[in-house]
Amino acid sequence: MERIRNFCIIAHIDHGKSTLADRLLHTTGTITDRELQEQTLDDMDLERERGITIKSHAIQMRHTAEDGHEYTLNLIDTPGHVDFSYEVSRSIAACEGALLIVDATQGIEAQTISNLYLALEHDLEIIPVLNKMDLDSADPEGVSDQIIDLIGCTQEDIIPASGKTGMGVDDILRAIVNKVPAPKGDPNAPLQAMVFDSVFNSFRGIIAYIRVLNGTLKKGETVQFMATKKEYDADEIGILGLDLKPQKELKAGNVGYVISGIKNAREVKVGDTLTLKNNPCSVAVKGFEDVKPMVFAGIYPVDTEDYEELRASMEKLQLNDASLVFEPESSAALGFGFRCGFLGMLHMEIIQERLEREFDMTVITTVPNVSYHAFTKAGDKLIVNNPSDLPDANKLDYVEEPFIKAQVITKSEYIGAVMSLCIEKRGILLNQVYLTADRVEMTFSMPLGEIVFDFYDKLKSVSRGYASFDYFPDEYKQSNLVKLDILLNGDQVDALSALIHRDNAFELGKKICLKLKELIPRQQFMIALQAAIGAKIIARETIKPVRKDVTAKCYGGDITRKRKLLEKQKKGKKRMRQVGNVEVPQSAFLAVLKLD
Amino acid sequence: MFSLYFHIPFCRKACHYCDFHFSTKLTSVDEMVVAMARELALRAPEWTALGTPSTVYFGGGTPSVLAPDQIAFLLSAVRRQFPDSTFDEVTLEANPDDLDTERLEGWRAAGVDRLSVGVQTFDDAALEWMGRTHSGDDAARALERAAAAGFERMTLDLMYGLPGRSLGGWERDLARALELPINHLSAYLLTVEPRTALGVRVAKGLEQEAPEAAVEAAYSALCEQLSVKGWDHYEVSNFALPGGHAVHNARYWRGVPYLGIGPGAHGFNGTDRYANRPNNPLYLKALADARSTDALPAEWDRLTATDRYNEALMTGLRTAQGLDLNALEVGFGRRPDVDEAREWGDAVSRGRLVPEGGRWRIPESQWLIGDAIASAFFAIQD
Ligand SMILES: Nc1nc2c(ncn2[C@@H]2O[C@H](COP(=O)(O)OP(=O)(O)OP(=O)(O)O)[C@@H](O)[C@H]2O)c(=O)[nH]1
Ligand code: SF4
Ligand SMILES: [Mg+2]
Repeated sequence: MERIRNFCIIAHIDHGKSTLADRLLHTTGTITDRELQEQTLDDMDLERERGITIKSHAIQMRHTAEDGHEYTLNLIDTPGHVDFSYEVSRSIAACEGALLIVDATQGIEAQTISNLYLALEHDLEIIPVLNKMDLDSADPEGVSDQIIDLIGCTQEDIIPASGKTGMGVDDILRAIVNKVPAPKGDPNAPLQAMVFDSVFNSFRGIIAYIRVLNGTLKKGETVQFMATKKEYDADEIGILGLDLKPQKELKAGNVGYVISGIKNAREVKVGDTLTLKNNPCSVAVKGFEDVKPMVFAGIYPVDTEDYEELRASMEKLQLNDASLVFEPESSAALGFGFRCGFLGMLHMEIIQERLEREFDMTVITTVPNVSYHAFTKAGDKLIVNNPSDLPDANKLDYVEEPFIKAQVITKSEYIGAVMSLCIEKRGILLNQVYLTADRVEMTFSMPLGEIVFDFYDKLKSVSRGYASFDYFPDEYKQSNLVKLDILLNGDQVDALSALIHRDNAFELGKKICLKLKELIPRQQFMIALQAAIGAKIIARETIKPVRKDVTAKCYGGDITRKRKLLEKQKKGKKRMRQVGNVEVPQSAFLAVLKLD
Repeated sequence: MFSLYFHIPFCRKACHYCDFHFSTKLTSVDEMVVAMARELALRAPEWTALGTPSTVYFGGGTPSVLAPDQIAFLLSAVRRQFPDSTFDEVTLEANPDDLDTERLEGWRAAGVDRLSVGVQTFDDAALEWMGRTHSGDDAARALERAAAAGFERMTLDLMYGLPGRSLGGWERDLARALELPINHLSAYLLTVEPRTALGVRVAKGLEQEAPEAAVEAAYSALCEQLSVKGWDHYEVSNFALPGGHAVHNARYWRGVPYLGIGPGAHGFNGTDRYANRPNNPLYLKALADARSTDALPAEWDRLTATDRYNEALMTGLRTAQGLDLNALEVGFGRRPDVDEAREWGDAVSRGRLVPEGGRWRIPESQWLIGDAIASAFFAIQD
């Protein structure tokens, strides 16, 4: 056990965690030249395409250190995006050390700080790594100063490295062996293992990833999950290479997996403690808090007949992604669908994309919103996850919305721009600290609902990319919110309703109408677009009907050519949703997110 | 019975709006005519089962670049391959520049009995803008000469929806056309095709398509003036006086098979369609030593029943005769009023479809959006 090191790689998004992981895997001979690709561990199609990590990935390496001994190094690569920070917390719980990667061209950013704090909370040994040193724009002195300030280390502790050239990899391996403490635990005590992740495999069922804290797990033993009390046979146990590597036993200190024929994701709770039925341990390890969805939106099949298929698809997706929650709902405009909870906007986008790709479902995602608390005059408190569920004005007393603490780190020259953006988004500046002479951390109190709209994109653009952002849920506060409705040809489309602050209503109503006008294709008849608050129309646009679209010449070869063209157009329409007689494309339902 | 189409892939000059297949290198015309006769000979055996060609259409391009003896050569090639054929109609498309009396008489003697003259407009400024090589008066005089040479069946092409053209200008075009000795008129809405000089100008923002309101006004004027004078608006873009209806073209819309000859020509044998590659040198080279139809530079498109159903809907609704729903049901086992009941009901309630003589048609006033109306009933295969 003294030759085991468990560590994770944490950083702000895109600072090079997965690329550096490639170098470690390659140098230790864990993967061959042939198996090596860019960000080898990002094995989901979506991860590869978007170039980001969505899920944590654990892998075991063997490394002969300078002392001549072979060490077992369990590495967990984590995602950097805020939406997936719960993945980071789980990974941290299985480790004794963390590589804190900082991009030498960017410096410390919002998730560098938040992920560092998560690691410190668990007493992990932090190994700071200054990455992307191969780039000309690297600023080792400046960024080192930031790191020293942040974690109180010395210059010598910081390892200059490059995931591109392999610079610093040996130093990193040496630091892992020498600085990360070996796991503690007693291999002879009753089994106590923590489930830190689980994945669904359509052939093998649920694969639970565990960190053995005490005791030893042998293949075939009957195990029990302490929270669910369910018992299973450990049909297969092993360690995590690039593939699963079956073993006869897993001892205290190690990281590995268990397969026990479980098909239903709900039976395995991440954070649960695994023990032996015949020789149980006395205490469970501290589990994780349930991840709370931050953003809600309806997901509906484009074709109403696909509702049941959509349900089946979402259930399967949930096996893979336990952070997705959903319940059935119905909409006057869209029929039957599901109200889903997501970790953030990226998560929402990814779920929609996975439904389309992996399950071939064409879906409409409605305007996202946060979870509101509505208080009625009768004194009841209702949780409102869908603007349509807001009680009538005459029954409603007031509404509370969730606020967050938002941390923005930017260069000092963008303070003004960031400040006015945050104020425009109803933010209040709570604190402002200079991290270095020209880097500032600003803390705002802001309604979460404003982040859901176009905050990220705007922040990026006002700061020319030099601002990073992180947030934590804070308290609920009363707000002057109104329900903005959108009417198509006089009929209200519930799926387009949003709760917004009264002060922004006029402007937003106008912008939404304009955007919809751009997104809804002209049809054979006129379409009136209106934005309303209650009975009051606050904005109006008209989509003029198509007045000419006939082929002039249609002889011989024109016929097939034209038919194919029209068929293609009609297929495109199948991706649209009929609301009344108006064909509305998927994108229109998210129009409010893309206002200028 | 089937139709026969010769695609003559030459023009003297490229018009700015046109994306048809043609070459302005006229040096290979003689060689081309021989090659087309060869293609006909190669394809003929596969068509005898369908009977004989009942109409012949020389289209293009500019078929009037062919001398009378070349037309005669091709028509005699047809008679050699299909000895018993009698033609209901032999049409030649012509540009006004080519219509001198000698040629006109020669073509008539060769068997051409109908002329389709590309006039487009009588407005010289607009002709210049289009890149045409003749004036409005040239065109008018050419038609008079053709009548004098004995052509009784003549049609001309006009174009509306030109950028910047006034309604008055268009009405003058119509009035002038109706004074000429024609019994058929095709009025085409200008389509801006991407791969043309005009398409490029529009894409670059140097020119703008005519506003829809102007197009609608031009279309209404067209329908009104012709109906007052007793013309039958029998297809989206086609009008005829009694007895003047185009025979060959109307058969396309009824799904009659057609044998297409020449580079860029299409053929349809009743189930499948082929398209000869639109490339003159390639065509000439292939035909120089082709021994069978396999050697022809053609691509086949196998039409499914759904494809043919959609084509029947599309072409049927382009005609004043409209659709016979029972016939569709017998032929394809589906009918739009049942299989696309919601769209059908919607179109009927909006007056986009009207019953007439046991059939359904798009009323004249709605034809400008005919593609949208028809394609709403398409059957789509996943
Ligand atoms: N020049 C240079 N580029 C690097 C280096 N490390 C990573 N990159 C590039 O930076 C981008 C992000 O790298 P990743 O390894 O995916 O970053 P990550 O931290 O895993 O990103 P997330 O998992 O999405 O948070 C990619 O385009 C890499 O090619 C480096 O050392 N030098
Ligand atoms: S319009 Fe006629 S003459 Fe002009 S380029 Fe096209 S085919 Fe040739
Ligand atoms: Mg990554």
